[in-house]
Amino acid sequence: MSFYLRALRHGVLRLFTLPRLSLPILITLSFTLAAVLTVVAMSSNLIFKPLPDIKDEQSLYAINRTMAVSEDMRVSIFTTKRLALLAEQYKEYGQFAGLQVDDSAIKVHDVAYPVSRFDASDNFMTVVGGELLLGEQANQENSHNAVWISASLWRSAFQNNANVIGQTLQLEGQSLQVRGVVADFSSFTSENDEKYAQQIWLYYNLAEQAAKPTQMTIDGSLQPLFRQTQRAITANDIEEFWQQYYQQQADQLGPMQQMFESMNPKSTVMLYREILMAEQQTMIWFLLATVTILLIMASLNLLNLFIAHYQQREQEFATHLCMGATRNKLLVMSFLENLSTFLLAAVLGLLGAAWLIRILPIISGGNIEMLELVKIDASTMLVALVAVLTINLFFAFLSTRQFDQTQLISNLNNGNKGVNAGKITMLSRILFIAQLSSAAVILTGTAMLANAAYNTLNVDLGFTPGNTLIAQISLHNNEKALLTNAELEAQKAELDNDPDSEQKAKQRFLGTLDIKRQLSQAVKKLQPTITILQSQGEPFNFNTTISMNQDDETQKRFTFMNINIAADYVDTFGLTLLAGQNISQTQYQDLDDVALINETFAKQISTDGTLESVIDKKIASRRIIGVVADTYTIMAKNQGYPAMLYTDKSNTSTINLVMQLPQGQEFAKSAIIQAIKSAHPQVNEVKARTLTERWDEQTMPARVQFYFISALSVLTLLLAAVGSNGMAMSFTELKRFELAIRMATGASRSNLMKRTIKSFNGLLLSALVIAITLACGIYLLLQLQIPLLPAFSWQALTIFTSLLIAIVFIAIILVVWRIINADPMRALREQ
Amino acid sequence: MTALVTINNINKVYSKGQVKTHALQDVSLTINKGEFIAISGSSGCGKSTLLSILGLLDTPTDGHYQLANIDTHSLNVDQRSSVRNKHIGYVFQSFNLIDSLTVFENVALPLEHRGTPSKDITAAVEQQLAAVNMSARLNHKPSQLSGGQQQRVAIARALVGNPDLLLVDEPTGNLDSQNGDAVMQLLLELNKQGATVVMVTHDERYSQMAQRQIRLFDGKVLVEHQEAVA
Repeated sequence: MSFYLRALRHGVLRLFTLPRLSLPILITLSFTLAAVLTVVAMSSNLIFKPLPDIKDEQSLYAINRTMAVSEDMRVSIFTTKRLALLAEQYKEYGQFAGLQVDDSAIKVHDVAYPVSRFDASDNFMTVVGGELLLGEQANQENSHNAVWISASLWRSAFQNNANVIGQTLQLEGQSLQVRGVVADFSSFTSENDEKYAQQIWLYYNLAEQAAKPTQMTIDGSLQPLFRQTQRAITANDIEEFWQQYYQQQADQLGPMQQMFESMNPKSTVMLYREILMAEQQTMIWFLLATVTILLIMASLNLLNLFIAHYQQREQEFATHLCMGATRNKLLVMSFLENLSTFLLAAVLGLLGAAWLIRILPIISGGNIEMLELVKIDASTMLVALVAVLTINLFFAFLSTRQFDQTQLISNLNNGNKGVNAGKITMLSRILFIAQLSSAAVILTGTAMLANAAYNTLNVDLGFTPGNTLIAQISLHNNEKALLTNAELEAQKAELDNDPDSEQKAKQRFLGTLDIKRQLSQAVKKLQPTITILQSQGEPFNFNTTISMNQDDETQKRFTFMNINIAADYVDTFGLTLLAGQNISQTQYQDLDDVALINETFAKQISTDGTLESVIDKKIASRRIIGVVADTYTIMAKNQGYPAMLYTDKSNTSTINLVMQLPQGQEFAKSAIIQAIKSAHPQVNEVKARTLTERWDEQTMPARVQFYFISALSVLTLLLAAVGSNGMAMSFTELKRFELAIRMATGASRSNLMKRTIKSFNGLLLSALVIAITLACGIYLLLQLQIPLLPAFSWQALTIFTSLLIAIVFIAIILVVWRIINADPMRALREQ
Repeated sequence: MTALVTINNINKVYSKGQVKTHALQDVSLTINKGEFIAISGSSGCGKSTLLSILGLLDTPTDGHYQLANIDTHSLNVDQRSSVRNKHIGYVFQSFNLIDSLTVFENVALPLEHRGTPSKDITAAVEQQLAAVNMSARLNHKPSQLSGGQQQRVAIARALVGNPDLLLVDEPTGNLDSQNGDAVMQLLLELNKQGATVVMVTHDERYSQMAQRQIRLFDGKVLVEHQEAVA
């Protein structure tokens, strides 16, 4: 057998005969590679590959104009009408299309299917390049009362039946005729909604939208798209359109224009891909950087083990050199010996990555878009192969070049004369410092991110959520929810002219309350322990409306969110009343125009800086009777946002049933939804979610980040332990003769332990000081470059650094103790 | 007689901090092809250092060393390895057999490093092991052999590449007298067959079996004695 073949064979045998070396390599490298390859697969599929459903994505843009509703939230102020007007103005530039996404449910032959619902302009498929599998393309004539379904829905609901065209499905009580089957569409973002491959498409003609009345509300859900065919559209073009739009629609828009313009509006043109991938891309680059450092750290740790192993084979290497082997030949020998272990680690890493990719959508809770596209591809496999071969080559190089050749051969020639000095090599010292430094860099980063994520999850809400379920109920046949400005004006004029208008409004509201009472009874009948609040507001304000109003005294304009409450809201959710008083039951029943405001709002309108001064002030025709402390809301997070809390008498199209149960009891959610649907003929749609569920959905990214970072920290600490273990093993092996001689001359094991640990102290302390200083410096430097990084926290750093120090010490103590107990006297007997 | 080795004014100084140790001082020596030389002397006199320099395992601090008409001074690390492989066979006092390899594989090492085809390696190794009477232990590991057997394997390994110069460090140091005598007889036999042997020993009895005896003292050649060649 040739020299090289023998090296290969030794490598394979060593997998089983030398578990002390092969197991740490396999475990450490395969775990780390699994993480690395998962991120590589993500980047390969999400960053470098074209989107699956979009043709020629370089000319497809997402355009928008947004307003800032809070520091970290921007909402699109485009509506289909505004997009239609924009499309008309710039039709020479290219094609425009609109898309809105929601999750919904359809019924086919009385079987319900959850679906993603797309409301899109009828040219959408042409603009993006989507594929029609069956039926006809949508157009102005055929899209009324019609629906197009995705291939997945065709399969699940219609068993791929070619006769599906012309059949009907039920959507929110409406019958829609299937006009076509299109390929599943995955290149979209779904915000907090579920993303399904079962999809329905409802089309409208964009040009027709231009003639529709101006809407007085915005929901921010429309995504306008532009396919460049002639000329690129710019943010300035959009800005120009909006200024013209304001001029043309001034009468219709009224105060809405001022609201749009006062909320830091911004026009944007971005590639559609960037809109989809922007968040992922940043996250993937961050992950890629992290796992690369992790891989370097893992490699450094393993290198220490390697060096320890090759130090034990010093005599063999010297003999080879003596017999005429060149250093390169020894390098190839070392490379071939380790090849099987590294290749196996790559295979295990790929398997681990494949498994991780499968569970990624589960652990991310659907918060990372487009994950369904991620799979192990040829690039990922190539990266795995290149990574292990590079590491192997690097290891082979260092482990065969670490020796001073002359010294090595000299030791060989003087093998039996004297005791090895037992000095740790410079390479080992540098490696150990590099390992601890990389561990400290990762841990500092993870400490800050974990701290930030922990703070996000453990924020002081300012209220007690309790065991609360909120059912959002939309009603049929009630007053139109979206009134145009003209309609509002007409309604106002009618009310002004009608002496009984206020009475009529109250009656309408009381009518709605009567429906609510009937629904409440149905729920109570089902679960008698449920308490149903009079308040319809939800403390997190997941669905919120924002108003703009003017202070009559100061002429100052205020933007604030509205929270629909009753007398029971403050006490039920434990809000702190800072000034004035709560809305009384009598005021609620009499439908008095009174309101509470929050502290932020009070400070804005206070004339003398005191909260008391706002009491009895009138804002939006309501008398302020109390001030409550700010609470966490989805809009405001922890920075505060003005809020007005009052009983909203105008909303008669939806009802929120806010229900509570004692802690520990569970809501029979499906039964409750069914009971509500059956309780009144006007009930149209019911969605119910507990506050906990909604909070979990909302905080999922932070939780995923926290879990991921925690896992990363544990892995880093594990690697630091492996590295310290390797270093200690290497050093203690070098000291075997000394230990043996000391033991032979009567030293106890504890004495040997103390001496050995003491001999580490200098290296350990200097390594830790360098590592922590370097890590802090790097983090602070990065923070200057990336302002989004969380603030530096000494507390978090102290905790994580203490853990690192403890892990390193424990690893060293364990290995030294093991070697001391493993018959060091053998070294003398073998002489 | 053709000179195989010529060393002129070789010095070797080991420095550790301020302390300098002169291991060899102005040693000059010529070794002719086919000679059997024994180097002896007390412990620390520089015997092993001289052997290391002769075997290109170490470099002199100054002086000139020529082996088989090759000036060794200008050789880099890999060239030295190559010269060692082709021209020198080295037998260590502690044998230095690789535990993980079989007897056959240990002996084959110099030829493998030379790039000799496997077929030729097999033939050469089997022949050499037969010469040292170790054919029966072909597939044994070094740990399964006695000290004398290990020494014979080490000699076979040193000879398998047909080196010009066989360097032997204390060949009997780790052996009992019976095994020591056997190894000595083997070396004499090899010398008779034409091998040039340089042996370091502190055993006067074995030293006297060589054609030339060189005695070192404090790094200098103290006495050189040559037997009359019949």
